[in-house]
Order: sequence, then C-alpha cells, then structure tokens
Amino acid sequence: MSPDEVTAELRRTLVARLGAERVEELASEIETTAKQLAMVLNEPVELDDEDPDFMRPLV
Amino acid sequence: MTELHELTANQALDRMRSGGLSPVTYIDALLSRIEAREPTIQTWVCMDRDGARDAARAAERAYADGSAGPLCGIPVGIKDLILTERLPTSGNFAPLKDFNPGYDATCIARLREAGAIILGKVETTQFAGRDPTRTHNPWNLERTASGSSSGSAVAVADRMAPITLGTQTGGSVIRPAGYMGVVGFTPTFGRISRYGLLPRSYSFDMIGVMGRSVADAALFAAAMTGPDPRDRATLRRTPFKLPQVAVSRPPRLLLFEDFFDVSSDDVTRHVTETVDRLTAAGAKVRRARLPVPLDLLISMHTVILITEASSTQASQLAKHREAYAPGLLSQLDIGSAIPATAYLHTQRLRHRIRLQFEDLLKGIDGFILPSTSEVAPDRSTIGPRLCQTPWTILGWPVFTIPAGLGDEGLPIGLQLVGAPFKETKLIGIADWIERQLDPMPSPNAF
Repeated sequence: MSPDEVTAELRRTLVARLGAERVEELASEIETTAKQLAMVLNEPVELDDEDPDFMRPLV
Repeated sequence: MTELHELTANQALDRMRSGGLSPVTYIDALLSRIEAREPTIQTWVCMDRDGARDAARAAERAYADGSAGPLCGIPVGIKDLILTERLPTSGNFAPLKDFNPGYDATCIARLREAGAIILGKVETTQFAGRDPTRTHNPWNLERTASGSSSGSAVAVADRMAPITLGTQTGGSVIRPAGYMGVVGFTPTFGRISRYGLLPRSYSFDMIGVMGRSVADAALFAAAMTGPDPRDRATLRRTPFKLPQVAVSRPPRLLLFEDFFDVSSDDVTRHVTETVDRLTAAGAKVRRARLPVPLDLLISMHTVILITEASSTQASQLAKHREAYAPGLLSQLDIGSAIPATAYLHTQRLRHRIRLQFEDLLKGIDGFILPSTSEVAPDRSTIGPRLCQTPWTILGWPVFTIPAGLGDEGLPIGLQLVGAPFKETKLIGIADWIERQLDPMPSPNAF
C-alpha cells in the first residue's frame, strides 16, 4: 500500500470514530503515522520467517 | 570529606556495613538535600518521610543484629507509574491523583525484602507518554528533563537519591539517564516482573534502574529479577548473577554508524573520541551498519506502541478524555485506527528482525552507539527516541554509561547493548568501559 492509501484508510476510520473536526486536528500526525505504517506493511514477512509464538518472543 | 548525598549506593552500603554510617543519618542527609533542591528542580510527586525514617531505624537495628539484607538502608525513588503500598500512583494523570490499590508492585516488594527504603515517587510524563513534565534539568534549567522517567533521572543526577526506578517503552530510561549524565540499565524483557506497573505497551514495557555507577544499577536490578507468577514473561528466568571479579579482557564491540547519521556533530565527535579511548585501552571495535534501515525500526515501534497504548488506555479514555495530555491523546486516537492485520504483521516482522540482529552478535560482546542523538534539547520536548528504540523492539539488555560533557557543558552517554539474558557478561563489559572513562562531575547549573 502507498502512504496515500494508508492515510485515506486511517482518515476514513477516524472520521467515523471521532468526527471530521478531530481528524483535521490530527491531519499532520495521521500523515506521519501513515508513512510509517506503509513502510512496515511493505516489508515482507515470509512463512519460513514464522515463529509460532511470535507475540511472546523472549518468554 | 565527601558529603553524604554524593555517595553512590555501594559507597553508602560499605560505610553502613563497617559501622561508619547510620542509615538514619543517611536518610536525614538526603531529605535535607531534597528540601533544599526541590523548589527549583520539582521532581518529587509525593514522599514518605515518616515511613523512610522508620525504615532507616529498622535498618540500623538490622546492621546491629547482623540481619541486614544486601540493599539495607539505601533509599530509592520510584517512578510514579509503579505501585507502592504506602503511596498513591497517578501516572501523572489527574483522575488517578489518589489511586492506591494498597499493595506493592513485585519489583518494589523485592527491593523492600532486600532492605531498600522507598523514599517517594518521582515525576513521569503522563502514562509514560511524550508530553514533558514540570521537572527541571539540573544541568541547565532551560533544557528538558526528558522522559518519560524524567524524575528518576533528575533525582539521581541532582543527588537527591542514589538509586531510582524508571520504566522504558521506547527510550524512557536510557534517554533521560543519558541527558542527565547518570547510569541507566534495562535488563532483558522478562527479567523484572511488571506486575504493579501501570501499562502502556504489553510488548515493550520494561522496568529499569538509574544510579551513579554501573555497579549500583546492576546491584539493584539483580535484586528485582526472577520469576513472578503474576507476570508470565518472567516465569522461566532465574535471577542473573553479578560478576564476581572485574573483567580484565577488553571487549569486542560493534559500533553502528547509522546513529552518527542522525546525531548532532557534538555527539558524533564526542562519542567517536570515547570509542577511540576504549580502542586505545585494548577494546576491539568494528564499525558496521544496521541490518535494516533505522526508519523501519522506528516505524515498527510506532505501530506496535500506539496500537497497544490505545488498548491499555481505552477504559480511562472513555471516562476521562479531557484529562489527557495532547501528545498522548493524539497517539491514542490514531492508534485506535490501526488495523489488527497491520499490528500482527509488525509483530511477525519483529521476529524476523531479531534473528538478523542475533547474527551480528557472533564473535562480538556487545553493540555500542550514542545513548542519545543530541544533548538535552529545550523544554518543549522529551527528546527523540532514535538511538534507544531499536533495542526496546528487540527487548535486549542495555546500559547508558556517562561519557563526559559536550561542547555546551551537557552530558553525553555511550550506549551498550548485549545479548538477551546475558546480563552478567554485559555488566562486566559496562564496568570495564566505566573504568576507562573519567568520573562524571556533578551538575553545576547555579
């Protein structure tokens, strides 16, 4: 996904939850977060990278 | 003669064991120091003066009858995010001003069992978020006291307590300790129980120690480790041991150059000179690049942190939205919109990246880098997390060791990262590094 697509998705969800006024207040931070989220989502994780207990990696 | 508030914890313990210092005299000296400094520094949220004096009298009896524990008589300041039986825990959140469920967090109970004295609670940013506290930096009152463990770092730097507890979810122990010129130590995730810690992020929250020497921080961290049925992350881990003899073999270290790309000239030059000094003393230092871009690590941290924080704060947010600080509230709002699949993808990616870092440890004793990317900035910010966050993602043990003062007379720290659950080795290396560097001066802001 591109940062713009992620931004649009986050904004849709947040408008429904918090209203358009709050989303405008958050616009700059939504855009920053969307860029970070897009970077993470574009990084592949293959099946053979998998750890069956990946949520508790050092336990 | 050294003033009592200048003693490190181990120096005070030595004097108490030899009968040369009364725990009551020591606690009174620190309470006087706090009384003199607190109006300017503003780092204590609440104190237990009577309880501390009672505990000091009990410590005096324990030394007399031979029952003194390993930390007997040493006062400790506690970040206002960790539950203490005799004092409220607010997390710097007004609706929790009087919150006290009436029991100690596991780490506090273990400190008390070992004889430590709980002196009071010190400032935290709200729920360990990014909005600065009222606390002042004793090195320069116009600079940030950082966060989230601002009070913990300041209390140690300004000689109000020899030891404090902080917590780290991004860089909240290492960054403020680095800015204040004190030692900070976070053991491996799962070493110290988090039971009784107000949560921010299930994956990242860790308890750490600040002190004025590596030996002090290690001693108090070791006392808190070990299995706790109320925090499953700890169950399979026995306490780590402190090194019995000083490490004499110079360490083999990997220096990540990526952090110089994002650091100020002052920090880069100073840390480079510090590394040259270690090399001259025999350390084998190899330069390398991170196995993945720093931007990716920071982005992963954001995704996991804001999603989990949005969950941990959901009930309070529904009741007290107006009480949240603006920076934290923005993160919680945006975190509530992160899709579950994106969150899980990031957690899976974390595992892959951990394996990439493990490969770099072969033949190496630890990683080194600046503790912070610049000296303490102005009071509008707690400072960037660039140098600390990668190790929080991994959950590996980390020290910051004071490495002197930069061009502006403000502290600069050297960060040392070790392999997971290899604290004994890491403490030995940290101690070796500390012995190669000059002693850190006291803050001199006035």
